[in-house]
Amino acid sequence: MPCSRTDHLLREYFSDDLSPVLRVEIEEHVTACADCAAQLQELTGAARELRGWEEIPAPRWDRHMALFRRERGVEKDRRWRLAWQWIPAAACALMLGLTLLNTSVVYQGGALEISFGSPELTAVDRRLAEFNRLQAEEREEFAGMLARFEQLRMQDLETMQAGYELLADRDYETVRSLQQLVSLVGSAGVTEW
Amino acid sequence: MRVSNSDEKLVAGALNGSTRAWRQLVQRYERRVYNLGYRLTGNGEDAMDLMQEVFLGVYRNLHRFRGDSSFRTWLFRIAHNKAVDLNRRRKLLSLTGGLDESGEFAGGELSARPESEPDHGLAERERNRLALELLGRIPLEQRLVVELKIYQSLTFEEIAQMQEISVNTAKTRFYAALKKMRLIPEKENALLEN
Repeated sequence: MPCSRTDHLLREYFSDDLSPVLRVEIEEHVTACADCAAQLQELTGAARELRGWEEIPAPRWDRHMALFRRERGVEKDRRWRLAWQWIPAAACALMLGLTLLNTSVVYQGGALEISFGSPELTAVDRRLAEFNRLQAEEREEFAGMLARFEQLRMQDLETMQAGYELLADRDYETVRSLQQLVSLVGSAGVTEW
Repeated sequence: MRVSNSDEKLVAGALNGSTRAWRQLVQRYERRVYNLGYRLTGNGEDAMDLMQEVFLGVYRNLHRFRGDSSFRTWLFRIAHNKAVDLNRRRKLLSLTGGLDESGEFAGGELSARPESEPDHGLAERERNRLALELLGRIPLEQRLVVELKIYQSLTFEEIAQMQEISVNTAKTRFYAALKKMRLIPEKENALLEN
C-alpha cells in the first residue's frame, strides 16, 4: 500500500539543510515502511548512476583566443579613439595653464628662454638688471679715475716739494752771497770812507 | 613552485588584456562546461556550440563580474542562461528520445554514445550512456536542476536564484526529476544490458 508520507519525506531527504532530527525520523520511517524504502533505493540508485558520469575531455579549440584577441583589439581601438577625443581637451587645459601662468617662450641669443609671469614685469626686470650692470661699471670706472687723480696729486706734491727745496736752497745761497757782499762792502768802506 | 592563480586574479588579468590569464581561465573551466553541455544536449557538437556561447558570454560580461558570488557560480549562471536560450532557439533539448510507455528506449539524441572521444574507454562510455538515458527522461528545466545539483554541487538556494524560483520549487523539481529517473531493478538490468 502506498505510503502517504513518501513524497514529503523523500523530498526532504535530498535537500541541503536536512536536520539530524529529520534525518533520523526519515531513516526510522524508511526502516519501517517498505514502500518508502523501495522508492528511496530507486531514487538513490538514479542519483548514483548520474554521479557515475565520467568526464569527457573537451576537444581542442582555440576560438576563445581568437575571440579574445578580436574583442581586445576592438576594445583597444575603441580606447584609442577615446584617447584621441581627450587630446583637444588636454590641449585646451594646457593653453589655459600657460595663459594663467603668463608663460613666455623667447628664443634669444641661440637659447630658448622660458619664463613665467607678466611680460611687462620681465622687461622691467631686464632693464633693472641692465641698469645695475651699468651702474657697477660706472662705479668701477669712477674708482679707477679716483685712483689716477690720487696718483697725479701725489706726483704733484712730490714735484712741489722738490721745487720748494730747490727754491729754499737758492734763497739760502742768495742770502749767503748777500752776507758775503755786505761783509766785503763793509770792510772796503771802512778803509775808503 | 608554481602557484595557481585564483579565479578573481585571472578575471582581473583577462580584463587588463592578458591573453595568458584568459587562456588559464578557459582551460580551468572548459572541461566542466563542455561536459555540462554534453549532458544537457546529449551530443558533442551541440556541447561544443554551447561551450563557445558560454565563454563568449563570459568574456563579454567579464567586466560585470563583481565577485558577489564565486566565479564558478557566476559562470554556471551564464551557462544556465545560454542553455535555456539555445533550447529556445533551436529546440535542441526537446528530445524525442528517452523511455517510451513500456519503459524501453525510443532512441533519440541522448542515446547517442560519446564515441567521438577516442580516449574514452568502453566502461566510461557505458556509464555516460546510462546517465544520458536517464537525463533524457526529464524536461530541460528539471535537467538543469539536476545538472546544477548533482554535477556542479550548487545549493538549492543558488539554483533557485539562478532559475528565479523559490527554494521549495527547486527542491520539488529535483525530487520530481529523480522520480522520473528512478531505476526500477528489473528495468535497470534491462537498461544496463541494452
